[in-house]
Amino acid sequence: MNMIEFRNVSKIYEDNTAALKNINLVIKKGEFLFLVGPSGSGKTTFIRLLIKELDESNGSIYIAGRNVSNLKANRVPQLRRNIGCVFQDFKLLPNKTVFENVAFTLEVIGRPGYEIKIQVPQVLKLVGLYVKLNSYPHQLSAGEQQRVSIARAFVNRPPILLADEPTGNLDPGTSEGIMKILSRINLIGTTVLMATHDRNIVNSMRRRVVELEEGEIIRDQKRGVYGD
Amino acid sequence: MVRSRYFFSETFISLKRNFFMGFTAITTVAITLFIVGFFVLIVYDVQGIIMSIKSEVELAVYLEDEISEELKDFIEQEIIDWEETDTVKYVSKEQALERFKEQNEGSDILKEIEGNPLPASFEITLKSPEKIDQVALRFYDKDGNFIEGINDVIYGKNYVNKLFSITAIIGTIAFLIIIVLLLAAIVLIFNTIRLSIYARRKEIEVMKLVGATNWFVRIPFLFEGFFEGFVGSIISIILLYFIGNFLLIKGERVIVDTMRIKELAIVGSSSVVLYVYIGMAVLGGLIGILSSGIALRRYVKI
Repeated sequence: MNMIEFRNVSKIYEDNTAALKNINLVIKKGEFLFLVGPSGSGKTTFIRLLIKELDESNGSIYIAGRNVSNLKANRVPQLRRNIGCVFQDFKLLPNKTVFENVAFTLEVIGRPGYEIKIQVPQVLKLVGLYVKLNSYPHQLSAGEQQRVSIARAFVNRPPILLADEPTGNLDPGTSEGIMKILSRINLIGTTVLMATHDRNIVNSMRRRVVELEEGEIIRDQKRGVYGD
Repeated sequence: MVRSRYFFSETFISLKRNFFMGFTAITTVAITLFIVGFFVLIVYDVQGIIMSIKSEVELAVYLEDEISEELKDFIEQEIIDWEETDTVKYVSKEQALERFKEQNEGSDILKEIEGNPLPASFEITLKSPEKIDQVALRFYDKDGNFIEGINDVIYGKNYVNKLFSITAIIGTIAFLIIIVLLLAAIVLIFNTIRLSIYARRKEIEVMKLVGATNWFVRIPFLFEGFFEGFVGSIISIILLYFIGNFLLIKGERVIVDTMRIKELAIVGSSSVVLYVYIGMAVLGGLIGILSSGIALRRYVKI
């Protein structure tokens, strides 16, 4: 089953710079895919199109077989509930505890309290942060904060997880821990798409690699490496 | 059910955690609305004072001592029949003397009075004091002399006319000042609430990211805006009730003493004051909600 499909997708910003040019790409359910390329190559635009933070200028995007290009604005929240997002800067809420940050996702989609009490500790165990339930983000290391943000993205078990430079602020040892968690999430059947320019991680994981350069796909390789 | 609980707890948790911003918003509402309310009450009070002065404007028509009973009765009936007339009171020579003695009790003047030099009179109050000139003219004939039986007609002609023009000017100026103050208050409150939402745009961003619907994001902020506006206005009402009333009543005393007005609409005892308070509470809540709504639209495009 095709989880994500781009058909002739282009994104041209208002100042006429083309961030993506005529992208065609199919990502299957359960795949783990690295999106690589230098800064400004279009990786972040790719992710923002998927969560409808931006609209494509041309072409169509299909998610789980459904054309989301002409999705009405009031259907966008529903789409986002099926896509977990992890960012380089974590985007945790500083005035909420670890538990509350993760529970936030479930509250926002209207899950009942008893479900939150079961699901949140479960996912925190998955990322290895169960003991820090009541800590605030500023009391955690960067790696721990990123794990909270993964827990938040995954707590409602979305079929797709997007990660935009999730290890960008972390040292190699900590990054390895994050990659283990993402692999585990992928093993459960989640489609994981990770934008990165962390050469070591890509080379050690040996997953599918799609390389972007100036908005175009210049390489699509199974069990690939970062490139030269 | 689940949702409404979330909204309430979220509103109060966020008020607690964003105490400083909330406190700033509430104080801003309280102070600005206090100023607006205080001014409205001053204006209302001044209008009350003017009304009391107006209602005391009366026409005294003094009669010749030799006037016949029939003529006196005829004139009285005429006055009663005029549509401008509110009340007519006949004061006989004796009553006039009586009153004069009362007013000057203990004074040497009384000893010098022989007999009764005071004339009898009609004291007329009007339904619309503005027409006092017209009414007074009826006691004159075409040549400008008094008609038969009338000795003198007295009313504060210049004083009355000035009073009326001043009233009109004060009314207009006061209205403009209240509008300006109100606009300033709205802008100030709006900016404060806008800042508090701007400070939390990150939270909103995350909410949208994890799939919150726009209304789900909006409602706690609207609650919060309403709460801040409403609490702020309640504080301003309490301030007004104690400080405002105190100052106004002091001011009134001074005016009453210097202008020697008999009766006065005292602030605090009137239902108008209650309406001002209710208006302030509604306004506070409304500005709070609207500010939040507009700020959300501006900063998070929802």
